[in-house]
Amino acid sequence: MTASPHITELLPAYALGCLDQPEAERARAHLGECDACRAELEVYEEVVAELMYASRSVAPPPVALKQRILDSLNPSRSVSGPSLRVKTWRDLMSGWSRPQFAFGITALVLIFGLLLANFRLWQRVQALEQQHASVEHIHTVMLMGSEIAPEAHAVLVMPENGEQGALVVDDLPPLDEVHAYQLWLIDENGKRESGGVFTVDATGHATVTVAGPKPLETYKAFGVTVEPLGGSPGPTGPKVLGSA
Amino acid sequence: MNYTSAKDQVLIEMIQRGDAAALAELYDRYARLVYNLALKTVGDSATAEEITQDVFFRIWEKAGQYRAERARVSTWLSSIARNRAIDILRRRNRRGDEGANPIDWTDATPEAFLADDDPEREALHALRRERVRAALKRLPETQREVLALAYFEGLSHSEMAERLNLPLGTVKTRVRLAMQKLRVLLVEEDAP
Repeated sequence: MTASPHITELLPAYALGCLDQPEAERARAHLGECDACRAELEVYEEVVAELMYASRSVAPPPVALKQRILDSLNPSRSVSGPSLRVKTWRDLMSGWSRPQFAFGITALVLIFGLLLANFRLWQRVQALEQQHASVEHIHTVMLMGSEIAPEAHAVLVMPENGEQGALVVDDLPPLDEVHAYQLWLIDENGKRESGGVFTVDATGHATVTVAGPKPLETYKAFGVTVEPLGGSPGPTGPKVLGSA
Repeated sequence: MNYTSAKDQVLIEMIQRGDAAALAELYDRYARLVYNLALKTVGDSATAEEITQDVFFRIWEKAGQYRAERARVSTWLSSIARNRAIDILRRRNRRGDEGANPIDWTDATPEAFLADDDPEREALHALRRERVRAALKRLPETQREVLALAYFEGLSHSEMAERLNLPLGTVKTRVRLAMQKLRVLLVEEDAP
């Protein structure tokens, strides 16, 4: 808690980094002593982070960059080290002097400690994975090509309770100028609703925003057909992709 | 350890332990976003590459400082990337240079993105991109404008007021309203 008044009105601009110096200093000083404003700031920082997704992807980073980064990491932090050759107890004991024996026992204790630490890390990883699995709530559906487009495949992702999703399609044959692909959302009664109309580029790739009248995860199956450009009220052309 | 299915936070835990493969996976997930954010901000590929490299070095060195209870990994990473890019931009004193990319949000169209090696990751990014695009579209143009000047050019309230020839109070109000609206649209509604 703090006696000074909250700085709620400054927080959006502070998160964005656009406060002028005096206001920024005032905000910084207050944030150092106010948990409530710090929590509020974190929400605005999340807003700023989301804006990263609005930057145009004009080019991938150079292929060599990743390896360059990995090659120049501080090697003292690397987990991989010389492998240990495990000997039998008899091997360890035979011909050992008292100091060697003491050293051997210490080494065994260290190895045990490392194993225990690894086990605890594994437990932590499992816990975190479970925690995150319940936080992100994303459903993924794979669509496979039919006999007329056997190479085609797609992935549809949708947030829980979301009426919007995204479909990424690969290796679907490009169509002529008067046809397009149409995604169908199929409910438990077999009723089909349009999830979007799209075309693919020369490589057969497309990223499509999918929208349905109800949460996408409630649909039982998904399919893609060839339709006249602009789409159809119901499927009329051959099926090219379908979920299992 | 299956790195590709591990959540971001798990990768950070592994990086804290010195696991370079975890950093490689995090790179695969975010390097493209970081690089393109840097490219949009500073306007040249060599500096964007340098920023991307700095960001992942910093994650390697500072993973122990990451606090999961305070921010998502993507929030932390985006903050490092943007701060670095803005620092460089300020040092160059290039604000308003002709060489900079157009500063607006019109790029954020679903078609404006390259295919990713991982279709599932591409779909997830497309989903988030679409949410951001739709949210930005719901802001008045005047609010989008100040948001872009602050986000991509790192301009302060008074610098924006000078650039746009507007009263300082007007700029402050526009920034605040834009951020408050985005908060509702991007954070308080369930994020993907």
